[in-house]
Amino acid sequence: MKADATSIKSHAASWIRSQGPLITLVVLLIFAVMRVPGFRSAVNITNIGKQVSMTGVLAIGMAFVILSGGIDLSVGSIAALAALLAARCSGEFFLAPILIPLAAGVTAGAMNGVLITRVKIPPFTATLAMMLGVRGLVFILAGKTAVVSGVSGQWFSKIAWGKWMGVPYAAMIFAGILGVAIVISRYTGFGRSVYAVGGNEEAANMMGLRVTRCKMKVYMISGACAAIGGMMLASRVTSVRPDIAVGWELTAIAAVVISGISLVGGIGKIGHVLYGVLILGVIPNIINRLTERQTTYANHLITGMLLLAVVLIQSRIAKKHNTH
Amino acid sequence: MGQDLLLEMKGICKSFPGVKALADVDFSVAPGDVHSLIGENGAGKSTLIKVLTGIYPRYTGEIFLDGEYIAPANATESQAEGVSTIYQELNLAPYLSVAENIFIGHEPRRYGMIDWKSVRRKAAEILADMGVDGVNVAKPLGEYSVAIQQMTAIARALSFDARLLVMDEPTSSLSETEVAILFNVIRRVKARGASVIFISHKMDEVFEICDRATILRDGKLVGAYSMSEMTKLKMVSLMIGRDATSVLHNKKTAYVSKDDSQTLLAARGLQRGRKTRQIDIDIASGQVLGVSGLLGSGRTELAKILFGDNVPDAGRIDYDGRQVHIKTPRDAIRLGMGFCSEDRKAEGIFPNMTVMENMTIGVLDDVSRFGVMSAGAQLKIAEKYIEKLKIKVSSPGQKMRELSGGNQQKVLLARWLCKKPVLMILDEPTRGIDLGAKSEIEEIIAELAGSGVAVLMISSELEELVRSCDRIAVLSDGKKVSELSGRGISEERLVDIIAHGADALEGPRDA
Amino acid sequence: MPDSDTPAKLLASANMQHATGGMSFVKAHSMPFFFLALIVLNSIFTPSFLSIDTLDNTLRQAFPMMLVALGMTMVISSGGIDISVGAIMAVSAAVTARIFALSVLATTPVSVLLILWMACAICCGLLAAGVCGLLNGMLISKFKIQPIIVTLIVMFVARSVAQMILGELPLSLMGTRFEDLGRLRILGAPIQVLIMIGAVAAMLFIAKKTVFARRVEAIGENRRAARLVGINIFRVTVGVYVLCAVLCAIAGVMEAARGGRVDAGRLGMFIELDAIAAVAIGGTAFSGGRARILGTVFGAVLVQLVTVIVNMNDISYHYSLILKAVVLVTAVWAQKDK
Repeated sequence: MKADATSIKSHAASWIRSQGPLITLVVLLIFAVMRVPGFRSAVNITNIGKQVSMTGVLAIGMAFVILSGGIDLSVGSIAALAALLAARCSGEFFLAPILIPLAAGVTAGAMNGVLITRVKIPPFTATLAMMLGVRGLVFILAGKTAVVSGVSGQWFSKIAWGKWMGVPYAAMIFAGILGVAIVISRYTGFGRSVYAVGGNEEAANMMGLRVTRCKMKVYMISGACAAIGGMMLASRVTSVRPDIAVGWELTAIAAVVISGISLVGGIGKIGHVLYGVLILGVIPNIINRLTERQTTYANHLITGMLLLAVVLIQSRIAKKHNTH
Repeated sequence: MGQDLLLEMKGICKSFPGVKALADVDFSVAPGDVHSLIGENGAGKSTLIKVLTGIYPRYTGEIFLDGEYIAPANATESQAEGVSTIYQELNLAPYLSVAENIFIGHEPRRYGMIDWKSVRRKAAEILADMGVDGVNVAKPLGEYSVAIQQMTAIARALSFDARLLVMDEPTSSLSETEVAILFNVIRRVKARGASVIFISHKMDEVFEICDRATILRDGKLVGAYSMSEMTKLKMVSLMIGRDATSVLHNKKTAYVSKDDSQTLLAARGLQRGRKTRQIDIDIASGQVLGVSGLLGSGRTELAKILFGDNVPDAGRIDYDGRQVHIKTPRDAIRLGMGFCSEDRKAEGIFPNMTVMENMTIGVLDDVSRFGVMSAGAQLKIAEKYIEKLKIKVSSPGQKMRELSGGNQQKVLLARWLCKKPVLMILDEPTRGIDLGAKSEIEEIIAELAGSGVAVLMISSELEELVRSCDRIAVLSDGKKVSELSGRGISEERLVDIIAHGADALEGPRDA
Repeated sequence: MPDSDTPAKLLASANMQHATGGMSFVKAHSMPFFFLALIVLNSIFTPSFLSIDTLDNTLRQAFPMMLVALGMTMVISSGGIDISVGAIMAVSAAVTARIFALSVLATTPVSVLLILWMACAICCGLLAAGVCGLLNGMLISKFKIQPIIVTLIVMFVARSVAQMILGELPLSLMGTRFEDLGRLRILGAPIQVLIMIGAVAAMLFIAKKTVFARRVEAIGENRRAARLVGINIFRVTVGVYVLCAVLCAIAGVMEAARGGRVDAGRLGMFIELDAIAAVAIGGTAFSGGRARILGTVFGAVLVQLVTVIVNMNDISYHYSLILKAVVLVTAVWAQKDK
């Protein structure tokens, strides 16, 4: 009897340890709902949904990359490229503002993949180069002026602003992509090989998995996700400037890491990206609502501190998980 | 051509920058044969296997499988041809489940999606068929012992319905019981008409399971022989290219009763999780204490507690007559301990640093002044131990990763020897090391003990323990079940205790 | 293969570090080739490229990134990464400038008191940076959080602290003695160049000769093994990040002095990208291991040259990004292990 009780207890404990991100999120939400004025309002929730959707999509692509043991610093630049192209092409043929940026994103991702798998440059360096290069391209394409978006294509701006039964399209897109990503990672050969490659690349190779192809796909997915994030951004803003989406790669990486996916590769669940993305979205929202009078610097500071607290708590939880 | 042969490799040559790893090697395997590939480390066995399995696609020579010309370009292709390989270093994904490790890359599908139910069912079937019980195939592979991982690798190979199964040192981390299971599996594979290439350093195993043997030396073919016309002595002579009497008949360390030696470390009631339960252990200066037991019996865990890498939940350690609290490896080192891990790659070597740097990393404070290192002092240490331990290197500046396992192990030993340790903890010091280097390392251990150092040595090889140890503690399931000493030490008794001792002792203790 | 029967050659080869022969020579020296090619190309295409003025300017502009890259090299050698460098520059510059400007001494002629006050202000700036480095190192080694996340958070926090110290507007140092510090020349050489030479020499010495660097490298190569040979991972990691932060602080303070103003929102922004690129070009592996200081120096100059060339030829800034990307990829490709 006693043994049973302890085993249930240890089971529960291990479940709790593996659910650090979810618990953190729930705690944050409970606090926000009870203590933060206006947090519960439909408008605010919708806003959070819209905000997190863009970087959320990027984070999904990033999660694949990080699970495969790599990193992709170029997603911010790719998102900017996609946003620019979407704005540019909104007057062209139907679906042009979707297809063209998507193609550009996948191409950029493929270039990352080629640099990493064929030229054999470490992911960090290769995607850093792409981050610089693509951003340069965005500046050149933009020319002297910012590009105006959403004017000629009414339907395009719906992506960001449209709603169905109160749920913004953006959030639905994010949820849809997340669902597809979960299925891919769980039920396809490719999805599983991502884990194997991230866990031990040499082993994956010797097991006969197609490591190169897997990595190519991973970076192409990341490029595509970045492009989708960029399109959502383009449909949201009134004009696309070339320095748009700067630093998004860091947000995406942070979301992925907070969701419990290890930068070492091979460990974590794609579905948990949702928690990471929401944690990163809810924190600034809470702070903005609590400290309406203060300057934005102070808000940044508090956001940073809170983020630190989240990461610290999770590391404590994970530490216990590892040592026993 | 070669109608009767399953595999025929002809005139295989393979070079690496500066080294000719294989020079014109012929190798053939008949259907249904268990064929051993034999040679010392560096003889070219692994290279030959990697050519066959497509890991090294650039080679010269011809390969025929079942009479058909093949040129394996990668692991996938060779797997598709029906060649499955279990490598010496386990190449599996530790975070994925056991079932997934068996089936990844060729999972059963349903509507194009992986059918997890049948993945698990089939994995369990294969393992049960092999005679491996008590494995939850849904759990991550990393939670299981190396032996189970090894079995998983074999199950994976079997899941491909291979015509040719290649096993590179499959027994190096298995216990005797597990080896027996493995041999049963091999016999079953053989009965199905598939062939096995079996690589092992352990002569007994080769003689037990193999039909033929091909011997390599320095990348060249020595010859192919039928096991029936072979003797151990002859085989070793062919392998090392000189008379083998000196190597095989390793003089048993002159056993002197050292009753007068002082107890250096006394641990009482060590406890940590489920892997270490109420262990008492005494280590005396000038003695070699062996620790035996199956993998997963808690041997490595015990070593890591003593060395401070893990902190015990309960228990008391007395060192040199007073109680100590060892919380980190640094604490242990300050007490004069040294530790060589069983996992050289992950916990021992700095692969891109030089041999000299690897040796002196622990004594940097002694070869430096105000934090500035003296190159001369380091070089002196390196040269001294390279000579003393007969380490084969081109210079002390050679990169560690370029050394063979045996030489790496010697460098790691030197790393501690130059600190003049009082207590050395050695976890599997001879794993994956060829015969020559092995006996040299055993000699070093004996010498250490002779000079008054206390040694705790963990090993899976009973023969080695019997040869080297003054006392042997046997662990099972995290508990110490017995301790042999002096003339009570014998392989038979060890086998007996490991096999039955745990059951015999469990009853009364709990009662 | 490695363990062939060749008898052990026990005598040390004279060249301990590069014992691998011909190929590695070309690889190890691909950077100077690059460098030469760029210089030659530019002396042809860029007007007045080879003038003293250009050199003077290039070096002064290269200064902050060079210092940051030197620190970054050690961090990367330990297997980490530091993206808070730019923010650390900003916070140390903000602290120094704010404290310096507190006193009426700021605009008085040079005096012992003034110099003391300036030194005091700079020390406070260095201290602020040191705290950031300490935080980085502690969080990474004690709490085992990934370096990229820790330094991202510290970047966030440090920059907002810098902005809080200075308020909305950039703090102008025009007309103060602090501005003179940025223009100081000793024996005709700008102070930036002197500090840079000093820093490079010091870091070369540290990386090649000190126990500290060897331990940093060991942690980068194999963390588990480093722990098991008794290396104090906490202390070494903290040391590395503090060292990097102090170098950033020097860069930040001098950058403030050169520009005559501190804009907490912009100072050092994105410098981590250039610095990381410089380290990558220099050949230090991101997985940790040997710190290649000279490589980093070349890398930093190369990255800076790209900027200068683009500026001088009046090409738009955007192309410099692309050019940097190309240089980065080519350089890393040229040196990789084949």
